[in-house]
Amino acid sequence: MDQTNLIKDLFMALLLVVLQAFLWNNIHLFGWISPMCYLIYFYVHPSYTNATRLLTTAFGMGLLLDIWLDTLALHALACTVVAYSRPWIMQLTFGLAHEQKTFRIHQATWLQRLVFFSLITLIHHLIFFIAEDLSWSHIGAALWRTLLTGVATVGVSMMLIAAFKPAKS
Amino acid sequence: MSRLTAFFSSNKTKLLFGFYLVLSISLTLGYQTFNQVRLLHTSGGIGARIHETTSHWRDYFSLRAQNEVLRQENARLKAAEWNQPLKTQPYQGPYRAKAARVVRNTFNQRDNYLLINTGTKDSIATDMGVVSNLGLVGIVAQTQKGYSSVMSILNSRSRISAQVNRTGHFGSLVWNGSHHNRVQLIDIPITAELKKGDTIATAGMSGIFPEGILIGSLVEWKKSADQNYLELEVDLFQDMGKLRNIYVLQNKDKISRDSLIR
Repeated sequence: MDQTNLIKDLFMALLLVVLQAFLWNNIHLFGWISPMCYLIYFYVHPSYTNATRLLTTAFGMGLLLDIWLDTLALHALACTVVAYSRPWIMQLTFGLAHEQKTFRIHQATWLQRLVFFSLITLIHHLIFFIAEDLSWSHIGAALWRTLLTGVATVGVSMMLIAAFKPAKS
Repeated sequence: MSRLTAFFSSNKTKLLFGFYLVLSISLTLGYQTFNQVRLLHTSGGIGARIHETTSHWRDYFSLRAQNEVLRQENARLKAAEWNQPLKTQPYQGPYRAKAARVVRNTFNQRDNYLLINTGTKDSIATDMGVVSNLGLVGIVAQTQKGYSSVMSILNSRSRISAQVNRTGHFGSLVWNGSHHNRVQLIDIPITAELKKGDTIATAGMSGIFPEGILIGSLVEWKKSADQNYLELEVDLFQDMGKLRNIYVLQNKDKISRDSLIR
């Protein structure tokens, strides 16, 4: 059972990396904003799987994207931090409910899901854009890029999540 | 030994996180500290070929727009040719242009690069200038046999000498990373009398670009932090997100010129 989940998980990570590299990265909203919708991985990933597996998949996923997009190891860095902080973000948005094995993210309220994904995006984008420049004099530009790209990522991703929402049983 | 195993077992998530964190930070800092050019290092030749294949497909959908761009450029060149006195001698200047195609272009990162489909086999070398029909694009940073990476003017390390055409004041063209269609011209003397809409072009100081390659138009300016110079905001003529066909400039006098400077 766990083996099947692992294969499904890796397939999902790989699919999102390919979509990011070939599709979302070629979308340039307002001429330059590319949403990073591969962060959906951290949204759909089950809450009860072990943390080391999530860390490894997240790091690998980020590194693959970095190699393809020539972004040093920025995606790997941001994804690693998001994967590590994900249990706390879940705790913050869903409370203790997420620790139950029966917990499914699509059963949470719309607002909780939006806050959860927004926090993931915020952490990822802040690390990504600040580490990209590493200069205090350009911190304003990094925050501006975090904000605009973040809005695009959350907007497009939430639409995709709504479109592919599993049917209610 | 068993305590050590127990320690690793109980802290494996933290240790793994620390390992991945250190690895990714060192990979990022390693490149940034040593000022390396990334595009061909990480993607390599195979990556470049995949980028070229995908760019073929992308280009297919913008053929009409690209034809229009080239048609307008041709008309401009024809007009220039017809308005010049008849020349019997071929062009004798030091600059030669080699046409190339952009196979990959980043413009929404802090340090942007282009990958172009010409390399050492076409005599392309580092530090050659790259322009489009609408203006300045960047400088060749690294070459391979069939591909080269170009440091875009939208890069924190790019510094190109440029001037205000009307007044002749020159300074350095840099990018502060805030907008992909706007660059900054710094170190302009405070005495310069500027007007909105002034054309900014290359100053031709380094021998990488000839003088007068168009860059953009002046939008606004302010005093620098030390109050001694002006910082100009320049809107680019070339939309850096729409680059397809470019020219690499080869200056045959550059080597002898550089040896004199040294």
